[in-house]
Amino acid sequence: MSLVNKYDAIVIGGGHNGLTAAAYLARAGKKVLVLERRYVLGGAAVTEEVFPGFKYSVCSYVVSLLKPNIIRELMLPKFGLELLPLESTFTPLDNDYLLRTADEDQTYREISRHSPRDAETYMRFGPLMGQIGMAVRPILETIAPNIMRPSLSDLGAMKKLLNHFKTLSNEQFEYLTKLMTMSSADFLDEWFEFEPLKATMCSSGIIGTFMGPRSPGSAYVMLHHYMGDIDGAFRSWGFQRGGTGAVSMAIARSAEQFGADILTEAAVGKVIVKNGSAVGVVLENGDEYQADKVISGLDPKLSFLKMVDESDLPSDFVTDIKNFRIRGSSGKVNLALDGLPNFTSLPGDGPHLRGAISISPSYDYLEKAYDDAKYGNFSQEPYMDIILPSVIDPGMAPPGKHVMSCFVQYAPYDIKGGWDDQKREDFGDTVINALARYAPNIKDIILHRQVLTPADLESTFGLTEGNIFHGELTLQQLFVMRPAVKWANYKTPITNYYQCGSGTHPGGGVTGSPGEMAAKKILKDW
Amino acid sequence: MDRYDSIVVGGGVNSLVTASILGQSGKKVLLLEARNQIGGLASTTEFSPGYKCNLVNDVVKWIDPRVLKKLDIESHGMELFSPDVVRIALDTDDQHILFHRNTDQTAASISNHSEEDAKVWKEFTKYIDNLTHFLEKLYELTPPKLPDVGLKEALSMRAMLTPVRKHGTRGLVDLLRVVPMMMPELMDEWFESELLRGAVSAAGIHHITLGPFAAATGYNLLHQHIYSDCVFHNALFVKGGTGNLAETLLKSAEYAGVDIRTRSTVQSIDVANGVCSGVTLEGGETITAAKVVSGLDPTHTFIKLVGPAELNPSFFTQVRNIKYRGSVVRIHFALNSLPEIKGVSQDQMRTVFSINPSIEYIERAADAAKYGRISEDPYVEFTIPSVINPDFAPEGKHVLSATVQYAPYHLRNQTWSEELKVQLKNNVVRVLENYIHGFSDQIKSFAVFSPLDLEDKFGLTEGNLNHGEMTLDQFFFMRPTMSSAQYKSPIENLYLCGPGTHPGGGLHGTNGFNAAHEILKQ
Repeated sequence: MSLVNKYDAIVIGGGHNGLTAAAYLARAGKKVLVLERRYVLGGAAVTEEVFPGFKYSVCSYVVSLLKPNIIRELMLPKFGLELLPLESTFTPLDNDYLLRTADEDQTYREISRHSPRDAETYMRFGPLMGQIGMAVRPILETIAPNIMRPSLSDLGAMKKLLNHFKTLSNEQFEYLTKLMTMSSADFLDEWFEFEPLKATMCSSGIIGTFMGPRSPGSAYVMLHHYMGDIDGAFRSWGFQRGGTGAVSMAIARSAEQFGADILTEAAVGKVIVKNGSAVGVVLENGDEYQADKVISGLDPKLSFLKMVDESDLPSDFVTDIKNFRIRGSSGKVNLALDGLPNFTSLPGDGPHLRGAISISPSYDYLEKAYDDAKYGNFSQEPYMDIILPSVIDPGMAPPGKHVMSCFVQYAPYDIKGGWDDQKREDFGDTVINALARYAPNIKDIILHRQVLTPADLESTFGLTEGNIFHGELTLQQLFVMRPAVKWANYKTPITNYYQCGSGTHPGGGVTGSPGEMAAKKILKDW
Repeated sequence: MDRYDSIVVGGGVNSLVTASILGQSGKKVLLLEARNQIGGLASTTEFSPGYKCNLVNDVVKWIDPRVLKKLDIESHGMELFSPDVVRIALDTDDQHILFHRNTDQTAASISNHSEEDAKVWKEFTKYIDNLTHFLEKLYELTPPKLPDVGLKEALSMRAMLTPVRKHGTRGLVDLLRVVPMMMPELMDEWFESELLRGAVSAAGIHHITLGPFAAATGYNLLHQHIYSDCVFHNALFVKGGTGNLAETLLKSAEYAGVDIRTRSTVQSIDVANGVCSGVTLEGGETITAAKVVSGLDPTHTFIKLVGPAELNPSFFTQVRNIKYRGSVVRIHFALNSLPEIKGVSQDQMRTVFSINPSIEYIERAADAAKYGRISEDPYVEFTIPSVINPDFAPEGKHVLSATVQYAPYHLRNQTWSEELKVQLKNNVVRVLENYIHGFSDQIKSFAVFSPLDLEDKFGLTEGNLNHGEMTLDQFFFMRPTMSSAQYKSPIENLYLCGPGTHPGGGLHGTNGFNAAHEILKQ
């Protein structure tokens, strides 16, 4: 006999969105249970000591998009949220480098060194993108209406958005349209000329997507990454003290303080559906829990094709979910280092190691990396977004030692011949070699290496196809279409079954937004 | 010289349509064409002694029914002909996929490659057809000026929703899904056969610079199938050559009282203080008119003919940022005999052939353009127009006209030299030889039209056949720019009617029709 408990709401998955939803529901007085399959909370926002003494932010490695109101409402600083600013973006080149820092004057002088025209433009570009980001925010904060059969409140929301758009200037509207549709390379070409600057800026348009810088649609992803907001400072990325997992832990502690129960090593096998309504879950070990509402923080494929039976869903919805694109394109290499990497173009320690290091010397470099993946191989010369957390937060590694987080593209989930141990090692070697081109000492200081392929991201973290956003951020998978039309409002065709993961509006990143908005929708419907 | 009500600059399809409609409304209209013949991209011409070709378009994908009716095209003598087999996707093992007008027959042909694909073919054509009905309505509209949409604009946009009655909101949703898609995404939802996936995707890259892996190739695919009535890869041949379409439009324009002058190159569109007063021709002749309508592309119109000094800076920037990047080359071969393609009967030669073994094949061809090179193994689409029009070649001889992608206008570390053209021709011949045994021995002569040639000969900026890329950032209210998408330019009395406006490229005449409608409203 399994233990039967009754909750107001059960959240499947202890990722940061699931935890956020749980915290908001608990905060509203609901009795909530979070069920996490792994031994540790956080999902892809997790810190683990994979190698003794060295803490890896295993997957997600920077925080910028976490919404300020969530931080406030869930009192996250009280529970350990502490974001340390990333001070710079460093692009090493073969014989030179580009270093942008938080200091505007310094950045102006540095860009001028390469292109005086770009330095001028750069100062105008940031504020404009800030404005566009602000212009998009109301969309991100709107529960996506059901456009097939809008309710009264849906119509109200649509009207509000229309009125909002009317307040935009022609220029803002034009750039917004362009950002929604263009390639990041084309968009930046309209502004800048210095290739490494453009390539590094456009790289945020390819992160997590299966697109190249010249692929139309990548400009939107760039905008998505521009919506970062730490303490009101726009487009500033931060590193969480103790690693990204500490963000999840802060949310979890907050949820618990509001009265939520959290169970780890509790893998949900199925949602129990009776007469078209979710009534609880059954764990893989047979335990059952009952609840008035079941909320899935998993991606849409798992939420609808695994957690429930297809027969409980309308067939057009099943088709939509099957057609939902979720191709993973990135891998992660985490390193434990005996010292600091020494970059040929800018030797020694310095501010360039205290921020993001971007291996993005040119559009072609990125585009060729994408070409490899298009045809089913990992990039021979991959794009990388690197940080050295231990430089910013010494607690991440033993004294004098360091951890290095390399986010790597492209590594297609559907690699020719499939991923295996050999390919994983080859991929790791390729990454190290690409890095050694700019920091040759890297090979001598590696104490431990963790390589995560998209297949690993899927098997370990439950990210279908290893997609870090729970679904690609393409135009046809945004807002009212995410993850499927009619069901973009966190509800599902099954009564009392909800979704709150990154596969819902407004998409991926450590934002907490889907979790928050789902909880608010659920509370409204209650 | 009489003062005209309107001067139409350029003698392509859309210019002729606009001129005719204005003429029909009693306006005094002058049409000016730089070349010695009208027709623009719809021209038929001799490229080698005794051999004729359709310069750019061998087939017409669709013609706006409003144009057919308004200009009474049929009574002016144009005959369209659509073969039973509209396209043949060639297979190295001679298991070609034949796209028939009849979907069941197409399905039967597909079944040689995949039973599963054959089963869903009819459903697929219906699916695409549903979506095009929404675009048909959208194409009839003058785009609104965003973001200031008033009640009036909102009401006019309502027409777009009328297909909902027949096709449901689901149709509209599917449109929203498919328009931004890339070809592999759409194909993954439907088909498994590599050849079929490649052959269908070819519609998504028709006359554009991007490869099938580019978002919104879904839109371009739909654009090719407006009014195609479930016939995928619909192809209409104009009897006597595509030039006859232009000839017919010319007759219609003359009938409407339009004055036509060829060999009249406009040197400048004359603007002072933001008001357009007429044009000046090469040679110095100035012609004044109440309105000037340009059928040329926006960059040609504004940068070259009006001049940057007369443009406000933000509009100048917008125009300068329009993406052209032509990468389509036409190669015409004069042949000593009719090419033989195994598995294709003589009857079936009156069609469009395409070489697209897989989506990846086309994408690799597009990769080259990305890096400023010509494709080693290009995507090739070809027709043998001499089979349809015997007067295209001497008795027993033939013409093969190929549309080749990708060969970019913007090359890196090389220029469009004669050697490069020959190199591209050789690449095409090598690819064709895989399907036409002994093809190189049949070639008597050839002519290559690079994007640079197209720019020089037709005034097409960067050789782009669509007068601007067919991408979502240059679609509807953004085409050609947000400030000039209503066929009216920011300059008083200067209008646009070419493919650079909504709804983009092709020989359909919709741009010209919509433009005339707007001009008459003023």
